[in-house]
Amino acid sequence: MKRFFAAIASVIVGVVVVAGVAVFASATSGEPAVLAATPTGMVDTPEGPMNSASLELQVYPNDSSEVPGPTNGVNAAYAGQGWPFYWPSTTLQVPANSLVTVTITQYDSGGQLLNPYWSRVHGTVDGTMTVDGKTVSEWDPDKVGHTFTVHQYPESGQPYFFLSVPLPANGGNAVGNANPYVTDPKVVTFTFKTGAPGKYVWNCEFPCGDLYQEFGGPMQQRGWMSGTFEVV
Amino acid sequence: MADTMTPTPGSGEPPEAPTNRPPALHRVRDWLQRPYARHVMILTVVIGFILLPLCWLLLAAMNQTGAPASVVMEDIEETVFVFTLVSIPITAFVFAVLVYSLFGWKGKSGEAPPNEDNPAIRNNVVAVVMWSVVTSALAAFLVVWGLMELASITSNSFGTQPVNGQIKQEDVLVVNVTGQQWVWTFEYPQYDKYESDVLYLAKDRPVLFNVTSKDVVHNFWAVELGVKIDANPGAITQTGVTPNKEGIFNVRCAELCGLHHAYMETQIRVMEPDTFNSWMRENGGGKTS
Repeated sequence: MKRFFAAIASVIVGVVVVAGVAVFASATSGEPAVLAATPTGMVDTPEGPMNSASLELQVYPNDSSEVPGPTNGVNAAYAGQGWPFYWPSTTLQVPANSLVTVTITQYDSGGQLLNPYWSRVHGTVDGTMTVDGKTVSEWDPDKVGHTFTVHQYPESGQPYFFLSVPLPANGGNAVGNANPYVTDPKVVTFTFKTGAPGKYVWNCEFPCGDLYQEFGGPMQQRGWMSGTFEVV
Repeated sequence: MADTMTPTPGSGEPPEAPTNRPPALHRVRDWLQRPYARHVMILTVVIGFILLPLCWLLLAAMNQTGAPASVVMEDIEETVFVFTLVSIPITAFVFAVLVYSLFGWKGKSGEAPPNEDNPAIRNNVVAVVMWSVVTSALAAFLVVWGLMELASITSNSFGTQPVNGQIKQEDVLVVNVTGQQWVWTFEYPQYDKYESDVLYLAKDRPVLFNVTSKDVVHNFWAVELGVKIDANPGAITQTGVTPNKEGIFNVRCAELCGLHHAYMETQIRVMEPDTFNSWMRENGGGKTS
């Protein structure tokens, strides 16, 4: 009988430990709420009429009273550390088989890319983007603030998808002296086509974090400079 | 150990009385007829036949990424298959002894095992020689097989050290591979330094990979090509392969490298040489050398 109770107690302790780990992992998840692209009707394309949608994002150099930044789950512990972040969410959703236009307003400073590959536009319609209304296909690799880079998710059966645009940097002094943010941010717009549904991830390829190679901190935590990108 | 002692001629010592011990082979046969030995043998066969399909399933599951697309990967898969096959009877025998020990000799607490089941065979020369020879032969076979396969893989990968990139073949396609958290990029120095996030290769054309990293240590793993090599920041590691099949294959990172390590993958597209050259020309990679 003693053995029986010991066995039962062991099983209960095991279940409690596993459940505790699951609850802790869920509570500390850094995934913000989904931000879905807004449908904008039908548009004519060379391939025929397509649904279209738009998505608006901002990139801030740090949180402030105006923009609190990520506070979900474990991210609440990182508030006030001066990390840059995408806003209002890093969990993005866009419609399948559509023409999607993304506008990113960039308030942060920047510097030199580790890899000039990210200074060029990849995966957009015509391989271009607009910066403050001017159409370009690349940006000076020494003056990039961040990148928005979507890439493959390891799940078989979904279409290949790759997209990367550089976001120009604002002047370091202007960003440093602004209260709280520069009044003339860089506005980047680009359009791309989506195919069949799929799940992908995205992240910034500019070293804007801290620690080794400046790829720590916000670069290694969902909700700041990386997230998910789902085509539904 | 001899079974009987033969008196030395002229030694003057009285001959030792012959023992009643039967010859070694008889003792082995007698030992094999014992119940526990028969049970262990039967268990070995049964477990072996259970393990065989399980191993097939395991190997099939491991091969879900697709069939090999190079001689190197064919060699690797053949080696995994042979090593698994050779290990099955040994594993089965170990498990058989384990299972029989647990259940066949189970006694109540405090009871000594019955004498008639005493399985000690450490003084049986034939048995000792048998297991020594068999295991040594298996180990030698695996070593020789492994060395031969290693030599084949090395020769198909331009060797372990392609001496300052001086490759003998003239038609080698050079690809500079860069790992960066968490995307691979590929540069083709022979094609106007064309760059891509997809690895394009020509079928039956040898490829030399110059692999490096921009930040942390990654590992360039071209799965179906059987290529796996570290990508170190500030250094270039080299390896090579010759794809022998058209199709779409996978590149992954095999070194834990941060938040999106699990998503650091891309495609390999292997095409016919003419198609490859046309594709490069049409996409801005006009051949320069």
